[in-house]
Amino acid sequence: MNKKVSIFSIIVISILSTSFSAAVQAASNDSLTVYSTRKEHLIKPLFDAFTAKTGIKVKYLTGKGGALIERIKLEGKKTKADLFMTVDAGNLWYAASQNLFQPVSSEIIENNIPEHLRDPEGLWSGLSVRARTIIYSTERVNPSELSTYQDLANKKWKGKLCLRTSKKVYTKSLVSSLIHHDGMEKTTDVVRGWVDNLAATPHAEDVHIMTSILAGQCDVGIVNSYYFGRLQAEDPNAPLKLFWANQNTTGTHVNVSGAGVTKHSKNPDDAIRLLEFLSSIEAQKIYVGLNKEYPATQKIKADNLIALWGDFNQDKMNLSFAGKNQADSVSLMQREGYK
Amino acid sequence: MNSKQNNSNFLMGLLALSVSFPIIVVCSAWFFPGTELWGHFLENLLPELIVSTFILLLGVGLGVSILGTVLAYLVVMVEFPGRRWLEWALFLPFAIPAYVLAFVYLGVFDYSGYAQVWLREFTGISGFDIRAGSWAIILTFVLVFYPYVYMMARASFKRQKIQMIEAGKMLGAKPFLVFWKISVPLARPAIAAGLLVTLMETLADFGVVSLFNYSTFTTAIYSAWGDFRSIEVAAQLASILVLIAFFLIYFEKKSQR
Repeated sequence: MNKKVSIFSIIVISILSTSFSAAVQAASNDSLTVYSTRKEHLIKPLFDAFTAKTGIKVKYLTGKGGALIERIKLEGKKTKADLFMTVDAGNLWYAASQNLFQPVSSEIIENNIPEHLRDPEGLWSGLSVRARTIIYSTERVNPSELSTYQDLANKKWKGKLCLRTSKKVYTKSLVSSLIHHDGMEKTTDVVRGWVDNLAATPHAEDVHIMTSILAGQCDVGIVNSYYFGRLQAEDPNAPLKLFWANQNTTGTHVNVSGAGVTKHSKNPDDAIRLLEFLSSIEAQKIYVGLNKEYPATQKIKADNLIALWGDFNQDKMNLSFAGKNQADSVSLMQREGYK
Repeated sequence: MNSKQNNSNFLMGLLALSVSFPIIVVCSAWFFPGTELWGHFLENLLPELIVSTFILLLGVGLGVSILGTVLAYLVVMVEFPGRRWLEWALFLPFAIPAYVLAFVYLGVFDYSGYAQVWLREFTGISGFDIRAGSWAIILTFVLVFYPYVYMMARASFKRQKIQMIEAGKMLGAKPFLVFWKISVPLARPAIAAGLLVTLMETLADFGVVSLFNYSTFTTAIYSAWGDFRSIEVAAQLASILVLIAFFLIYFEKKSQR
């Protein structure tokens, strides 16, 4: 008798709790939820501005890319996420390949964000830009010796080059762009030359590349612009400078942080509104003020950064290629021993 | 066997099966072989990572065995000032993740770290990349994992009957012989157990090898899945890891006799 009562009460409680949570779900349709790999301090001001403008609340949770993607997949149709936000076109491409996004066709977004920073099928849009370019020691290198990423494979740089590991998505995306422009054979030669020129085991952090150059272990490297921005803010007199690679050829390789509307979003219309807001001049101004990145929109310029580092021409390759060529770029690097 | 024993045997069998299920799944990948990707991994990644893993296990194994055992012996058998404090302080690396300790050691000892900067300034010796080769990562793992052997050896030494040691001394054995011929053989099962755990942890590590950019099975498995979305190749690599683990357990069992 006791056993029957307790089983019955378990069933009743389970039914009640699922209907309760369903009610909670329904109530939360007047707010949006964002899953973001970007840290809180970089996204909260944007969401606050959006709420101030539209009255729509934005809830968010932050985490690591792999985990968040798997979570959205597992949640499936029941996912609470309306927007998934992450960094690097390679990661955005991967999320798209896992069917995380729904295609969005918005004139506002297409007007604000240039084509090469958006997925061709509208699955995601870039929201901020970072450049991955050459950094050099002002004490030991004359900028006239620098030109392209490919030139760093030249023997003249033997024992002077510091690079990020092939395991970081920044490197994979850069090599993907080389494959897109030059093809597999030429890029193989370039990577082989880079490996020959290495002064040290590839570094696990961009910051370590910069400290290595400062310590004299190497003379040139390739880093993301905002890492240099942070170092420069701490130490304005550091004898390091950015060099805009490939200005006379394909333009400097850039990458984005971006977002897309999830496939099973409960509130896609508001989600699109949020995405449109994030692409707008108002939001772009806030965004770039936060992290020494460039705006994705061409309608404003990052005057602070241009004042520091000068303006540059971006590579106009559509960033979906960063993801499409990723498997090829990794195989290439593994074959050539670029660790 | 009565029915109660039959029941518990059956339950134990069920438990063993459920625990080993992931291993069975991982090994079953070998029945779906022969993809182009496996060929690429075999040719470009496996040779280096097998050698690297072997060197790592050998170096770390020797290192923690010696360091952990010697430290345990000293704090248990030798009286010196600060012994009581040291006995507990030597456990501290347990509290710090391997990755964090590696980050600190690299920060201090790599080319641009304090130690080498000081060295260059005061002696003019040119700097070097400590992440090249295997010795620095072996040393890092030894300093992170020696507490496993230390803990087991210390417990064993504490339990050793003082009569055996005194017998050895009375028969004229010098302190080192007492250590090497009496105490260590008695502690061997404990040392082997600590060694086994250390080697398993080393095989499974991802953080330290990433910082050192060292090639091991974990980084290859991560690539098989992360870069190529091949659960089969990832599982095939994982099953080799499982095989190595089985060998280690087998040798540890053999050393118990």
